[in-house]
Amino acid sequence: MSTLLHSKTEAPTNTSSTKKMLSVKNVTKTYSNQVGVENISFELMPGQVLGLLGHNGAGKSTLIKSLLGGHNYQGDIEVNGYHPIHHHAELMQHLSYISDVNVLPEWMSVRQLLRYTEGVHPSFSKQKAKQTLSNTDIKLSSKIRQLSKGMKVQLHLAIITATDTQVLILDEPTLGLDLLYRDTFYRHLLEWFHDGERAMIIASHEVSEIEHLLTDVLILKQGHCVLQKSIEDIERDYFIIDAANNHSSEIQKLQPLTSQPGLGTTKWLLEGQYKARAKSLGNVYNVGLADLFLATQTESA
Amino acid sequence: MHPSFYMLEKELIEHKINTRLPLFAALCGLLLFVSLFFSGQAQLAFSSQIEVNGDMSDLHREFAQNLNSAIYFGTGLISLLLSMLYLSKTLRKERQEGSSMFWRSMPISNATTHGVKLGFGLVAIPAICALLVLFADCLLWLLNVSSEQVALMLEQPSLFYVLSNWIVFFGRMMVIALVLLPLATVTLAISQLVNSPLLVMFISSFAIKWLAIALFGFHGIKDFFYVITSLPMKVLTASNQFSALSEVSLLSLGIYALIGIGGYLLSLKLNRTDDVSLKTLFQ
Repeated sequence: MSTLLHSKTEAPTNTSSTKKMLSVKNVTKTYSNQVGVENISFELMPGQVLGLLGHNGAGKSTLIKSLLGGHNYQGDIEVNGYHPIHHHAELMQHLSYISDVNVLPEWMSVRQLLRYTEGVHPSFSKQKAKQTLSNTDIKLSSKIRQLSKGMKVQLHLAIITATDTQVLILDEPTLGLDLLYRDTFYRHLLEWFHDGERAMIIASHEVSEIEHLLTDVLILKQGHCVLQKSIEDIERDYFIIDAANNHSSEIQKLQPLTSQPGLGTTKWLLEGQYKARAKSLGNVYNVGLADLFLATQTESA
Repeated sequence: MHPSFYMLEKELIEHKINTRLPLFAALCGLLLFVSLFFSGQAQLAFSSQIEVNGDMSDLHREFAQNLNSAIYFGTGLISLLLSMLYLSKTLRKERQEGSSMFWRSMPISNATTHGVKLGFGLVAIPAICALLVLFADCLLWLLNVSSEQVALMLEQPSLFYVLSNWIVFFGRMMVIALVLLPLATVTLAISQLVNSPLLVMFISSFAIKWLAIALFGFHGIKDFFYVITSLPMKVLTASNQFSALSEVSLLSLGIYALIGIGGYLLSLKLNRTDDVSLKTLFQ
């Protein structure tokens, strides 16, 4: 397990361009009596989707709030060359954000919100937002407080997708949404994402829900980075073997990261270097992100 | 249109009391007007009262001036009250209701946000309240042209007078805005640290001035607070608003201005992030 926990914090490699959209270097945020995040570094290029995974209190929201300029922090953060606190207005022309909790002003009507956003955001298209909303049950005259949780997320997404920003940060965006809303949400999100040179960060508990979207993963545990790799590297570096229990002692020698007992067989998570040796002992599968996430969270740091 | 316009519009929608209270006052004024306009008895009661009190020639002028002063004073008081209530809660409200991250996600600088909040509190609210003066003057002008008996009591001989009186009132409110500016920036700063900024400011100013007297026998702080806190009302009620300003020493004005600059810088620093505490000032 130690290899996994101390994996290199190299920058993700599968980039479509060399233009750096977001750069985080040695970012640390401490509260009065505890660590929020410690020494986090990563970069995002156009086309990359970074999954920010971790349990409650792992530091995901702290890191996101630092990216948005909501926290003071140690270290360096740049979004298209802008500092989140010192160049906040310029930075927000390139960055959008959707949160798990409703941050939209409840006392505004949808029409008023669109008018305000059009007035202050130079790259927002009210027409586009209205067009998106016309495919939903959201009325322009409705007060935001009258909308359901799912509708609020839809409205926020309609605003984001009508804004020509390059980096989007999503913090547990589908928490509390039913399956239909989730499906619509990710469909619209992907359409927007492929519409230009963009990068995304998605923080979520629902690992399996976002797995297919990600190009890179950063897993946090108690404020520390326990795994940071591209999906390609993860597929290369880890695998699952489903082997009969009589091979257990042999597999134990390969330093498995986790095991999951079944009926007469056990599923083992192993590092890629042992793939050739383990192949003859059982059925080999590609590792799922959920398996890897559980492995990083159950292992004592 | 400049983003500030939309930001001001948002403040207007968010803080409805700033339109509703003047509207309520206007409604009360309208009811009073209607009762005066349609009640012959009221007109009679008016004239009877003046006959009893004696010399008509000076008295009607005095009454007209008093009526005008009452409108100025009442409207100015409403404006001051609304301004201070707005400034003491506007930044805190966004954090409390959880929408601060949404406003933060807009490409607006902290300085612009402060400029708009101060502009709304010190210019837009008095401008709304000045409409109350315009409305009251229009009603009195109507009363003036409708009845010769009542005309003697009023100072609204023409629409030109009504309009110029409105502009004069707004000008006076702008002098008050200038006088209130340092207090407004300090209120914005303190409102981010405590839940009841006006109460805290009131109690701490008392504590500071009495401690200075009790410990050092120094009355300077007490005098300073008196001069500063009474200045807006003096400007509102003085026959010439600038004469009230000229009565304050340059030293007091200088210290007051410095406190205002300090309050502004403190408020800017506190509002940069959501980590609002005295500790963050030193980070």
